[in-house]
This record gives sequence, structure tokens and C-alpha cells, in this order.
Amino acid sequence: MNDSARQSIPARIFHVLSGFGLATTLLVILMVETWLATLEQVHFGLHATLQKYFDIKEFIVIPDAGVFGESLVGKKLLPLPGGYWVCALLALNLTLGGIIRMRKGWRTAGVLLAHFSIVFMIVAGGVAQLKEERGVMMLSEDDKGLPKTADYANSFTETTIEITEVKDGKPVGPVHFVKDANYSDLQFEPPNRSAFDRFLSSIGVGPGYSKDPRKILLPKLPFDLEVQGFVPNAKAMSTSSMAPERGEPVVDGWFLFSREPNKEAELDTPGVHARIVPRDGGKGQVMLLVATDPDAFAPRAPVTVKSGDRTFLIRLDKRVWPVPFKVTLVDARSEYHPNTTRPKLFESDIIRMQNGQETKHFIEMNEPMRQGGLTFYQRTMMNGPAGASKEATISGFEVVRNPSDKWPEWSIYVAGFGLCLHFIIKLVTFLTRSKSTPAPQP
Amino acid sequence: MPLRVVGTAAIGGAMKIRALTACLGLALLLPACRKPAEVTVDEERPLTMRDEQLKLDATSNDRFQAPGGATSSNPFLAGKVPEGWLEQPGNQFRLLNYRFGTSGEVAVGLASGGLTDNVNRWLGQFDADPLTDGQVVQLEKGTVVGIEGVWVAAQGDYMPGMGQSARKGQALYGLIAQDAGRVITVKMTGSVEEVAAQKEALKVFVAALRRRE
Repeated sequence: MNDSARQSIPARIFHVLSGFGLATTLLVILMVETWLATLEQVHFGLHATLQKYFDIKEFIVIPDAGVFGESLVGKKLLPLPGGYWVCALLALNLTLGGIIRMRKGWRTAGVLLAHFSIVFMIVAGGVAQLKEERGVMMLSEDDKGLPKTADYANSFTETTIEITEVKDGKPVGPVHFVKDANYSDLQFEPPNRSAFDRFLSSIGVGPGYSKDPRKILLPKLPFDLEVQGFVPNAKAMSTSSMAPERGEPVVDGWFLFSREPNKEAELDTPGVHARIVPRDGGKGQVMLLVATDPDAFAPRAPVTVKSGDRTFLIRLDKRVWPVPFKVTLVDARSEYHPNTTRPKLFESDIIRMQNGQETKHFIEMNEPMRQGGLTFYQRTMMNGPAGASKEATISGFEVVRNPSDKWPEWSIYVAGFGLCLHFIIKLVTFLTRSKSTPAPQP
Repeated sequence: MPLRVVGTAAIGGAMKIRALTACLGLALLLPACRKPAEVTVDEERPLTMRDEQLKLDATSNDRFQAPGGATSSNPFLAGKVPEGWLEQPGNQFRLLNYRFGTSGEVAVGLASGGLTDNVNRWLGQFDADPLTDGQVVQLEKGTVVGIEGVWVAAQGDYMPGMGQSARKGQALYGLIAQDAGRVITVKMTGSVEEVAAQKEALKVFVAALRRRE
């Protein structure tokens, strides 16, 4: 019997997980998935493709054959493992094989550092996906339509159902919210789906469909919420202009029409059907909730719900990320390359107000403001509702909170140092060996 | 009964197949476990300036109807919508959007380019030969919102592009008019029979179309 047959099961598992074979396989899979996702996002948009290939919830990916030709869009290729989990397994493989199992010594110090830095970079990506908060803060110079001052940003794509209590006409905090992970898998099944698509849904691959409602228990409120029929890109249509075609529920003479999702997912306006579930067992108010249109300057009005002598407002909208200070836009300046719409210069002067103190800041492309764990990037500029002036009056900031924001940068420094160290060690070893051990004579 | 001797390689191979099958089964089962009927949610955030924008007791009409009854980015208003045409939500390419019959569509839009470019773009979707400027001028004349244009007709396999597959036995009838650098299009497509039946209705619709004040 040979050595490999004598190995215990844990040893065999360790051997496989730390091996070159697994590393090579995972890197090839990642290369293929990156290539496929790059081509697929042309048809389906960047956000949707990233979600499909690299989201933590996706264990299996079915690539679209449209990458090989327009006529094949919608047809499926062979399944691949989800990119997030491939990266996770690669990090494990690099840790076990590239750090733990590897020979330790001054000769391998550089390579060990390089391996560690790659593992660190992969971990940074995983942390970012789980912990990153990213949104946009749109401010106007002249307070027309959009606010001049704000202490919040809105997520690009994530929505929440928010419930706010109101007393004497004023909101009373905190605001309770339900994340879209709790309702975005409740789409009504579209008609004429193929048996294969239904099979994929049954094993959790691709969008989830369900005709059943989900009850959302809200222990701090005097009622619960029942949700169903999520629509990724909805438009509320009046039955006076159009009749529902697929049996969509009608509420107050309106129903949710399902539109094709946009390639730019931040232009989508998700909607959902909801019902209040009173604790006393009453019938409960039925409502349609739809996110605000992306080109609207004010949020959509909420639904008013009364429970006893308490009043609540309910709305569905892009998730609100509170910012721990107020930002006021003083001046927005934009310049474009001659005879093009390519931006040459986007910059803003702002005032940050925190704890009664005001400080001036300057933000421009590639020069963000970092404060309180948040980074403010100059993302966009546009004119206001009047639209006549060519000079920008609205400034859009991308607000990012990411605990692993700097980790990729640090890992590149460590990798660079490690590789340089390794090359220097190899060079010195080669040079000193040449002097002390001359080549053997024939 | 003699014992059957099985090689260690065969045993190892069988174990690998079982392990792989178990992993695949687990991988298929795991993602299917994600549809609870009830969840408890306890998340909160502090109030922000956004929450100060209150509108109490808004009706569904208040919440869903845009100011003026339609999107402010659509410069057109339909004066008379023919019977049997169902209004659809508009978008940046289909400012007014209707369906009729089993496959008929009508869209009012704005395009860039010139009159001849747009005529040939429509004809190209039916693989018809392009027209010269001189030939475009010879087409049947029509008017939309006071601007003179030309009626375009085509028939055959319709290739709308933008990732959509070709449709057989289709027809097109529509008006293209050029106004100070922008091109107004009113395009009807559908099966040959449905388009033929709706030609007069389309002309009535175009005649009644007006600009939003």
C-alpha cells in the first residue's frame, strides 16, 4: 500500500485544499467568469451582471450564451460555481498551500509576503461586499428641487420599505426599515417560462419567484407587514389608461406594470404589493409601494397608515444612508473637453457642519474628501430643473463607507515589497553562489 | 461463491465519484433554502433631513400621478387615441407608447440625424433598399404638430435590433418629420393585416397629436 493510501481523511482533504491543482482550477474558473461577465454586462448591465456572477448568495452561475452572438441572447451555457465562493476557496487554498504548507525561511520570505498580500486582497473584496455602504448625495446650489444641504445619501440600487411615526405633523425617530433582501425574491412568476428556467428557480439559481406573501414581523411597531409580488422595475399605471394584462392586483384604481429592467440598474424603480397586518386581527390596509422615479427631484409621497391614535408613513425607496454631518453645496463648477460631452473638470466647494462647527472643503475628480470613515467622491454634475444654464448647478457625490477601502492599496504595497525582496534574495544568492562554487569542469 | 477482488484504484475512484456527487448535491440544495414565509425585522436608522419632507394622507393619485398628468420630459400630448389602442408606459425612446391587436405597436419619439437617415433606418429594419434624398421627397406627404413630413411603409421580416429577434410577416407604416435639427417619428409596426387595418386610425392619431404647452 502506498503513502497516499495511508493518509488519513483530514490529511487528504488538507492536501487537496492546499494543492497547486486546486489553485490552477480556481484561477482558470475566475478567468473564464471574469471574461464572461465582462461580455455579458453589455447586454444586461454592470450591476445585474456583478450580482449574478459575484454575489455571496449565488452558488451557481448559468452564463448567457449571448456573449457568442446577439442571436444567442437568452440561451444558457454550462453552469459555473459562483464567483464569490470561488474567491473564498482560492483564499483558503492560498492560505493553506501558499502560507501554512510552504517552507518557511529567509529564502521564501518574499514569496510568503506576496501570497499573504493576495489573500489579504481577496479578503478585502469579501469584506467590501458584506460591509460596504455606497450611495449618492445630490445637492443643488440654489435649493430648487434638490436640497442645498443634506445629511444623508441614497443607495444606487438597494431599496428599503421605511416606516416612520408622525406626531403633531413631525417625524418621530427612529425610522424602521425592511431591507429588500426580505422581499426581492417574491416576484410573481412571469407567464410562458421554460421548464428549464422553472427548474433553475426551484434550485435557487437566478431570480426567485413566489405567488405566496411573506409576513414581516415588526416587533417594535403596533402592526406587521405582509409583502408579495415584487417588481424589479415597476411603473404604477392607472386602470383608466390601461387594463392589467397579467392579473396584476389593482389598488385604488392603480396597478404595478412590470417594465424591462434597465441596463443601468440605478434607473430601475422597484415596486411591491404590501398589506398592513394589524395585531388585533383586523383586515389591514392594502397598498402599492413604488420607488421614486430617478429623474424626480422630490421623493414620492408615502402612504399614511393609522393604528389606534398613532400615525405612520410607509414608503419604498432607495435605501437612505445617514451621514454623521451636514454637507452644504456652495459652488459647483464643470468644464468639458472642447466640442465633446466628456468632462474635463468637475469640482465642488462644500461646507461640512458637525457639532456646531463649519469647515470648508474642496472636492474634485480623483480628489475625494475623507471624513469620519466616509469618502466623498465627485461623481457627477448636472443642471437643475430650469435646465437653461450650461454651468452645472447640481453636484452629485458618491458617498462610500467601506472598512476595507484601503486594504487593496496596502496589499499591493506588501506584494510589491515581497516580490522585490524575493528577487533581491534570488539575485544575491545567484551572485554569491557563482563566486564560491565555480562551475564544474568537464 | 468466490469473492470478487476489486483493485484499490477502483475503490479510490468510486469514493471520488461519491464525494463529488455529495458535493454537487449539497451545492444544488444549499441555494434552494431561501424562502421563509415569515421573517422578523428589527432594523432602525436615525432621522435625517429627508424625513422632514412629509406629505400626510396622500392618495394613490397624489403618489403616482406626475405633475400635469404625464412626465415633464415628454413634449407631446395625444389628442385622440383610437379605439382598441392600449396605452403603455413611455420611456426615453417611446414618448407615447401604445399596443393594439396581438402584435401591433405605435410609438411617438424624437430622433437625431436627418430625414433620409431615419427613413433608411426604418427601411433597413425590413432589409429594404435605402432611398436617396430625391426619392424620400417623392414619398407620400403628411403633417405632425404642424410640421411637414413623409409617410414610410415597409413589409417583410422585421429586425428591430437592440437584442430582439427577427419577426416574420410584419409591416411598418409611419410618419417622419424634421423640425430644426430634431426628427419626430410616429411609427406603427405589427402583422401585415393589423397594420393595414389601422392605417386610417394612425392618420387620425397623427392629425390630433399636439405639443405640450
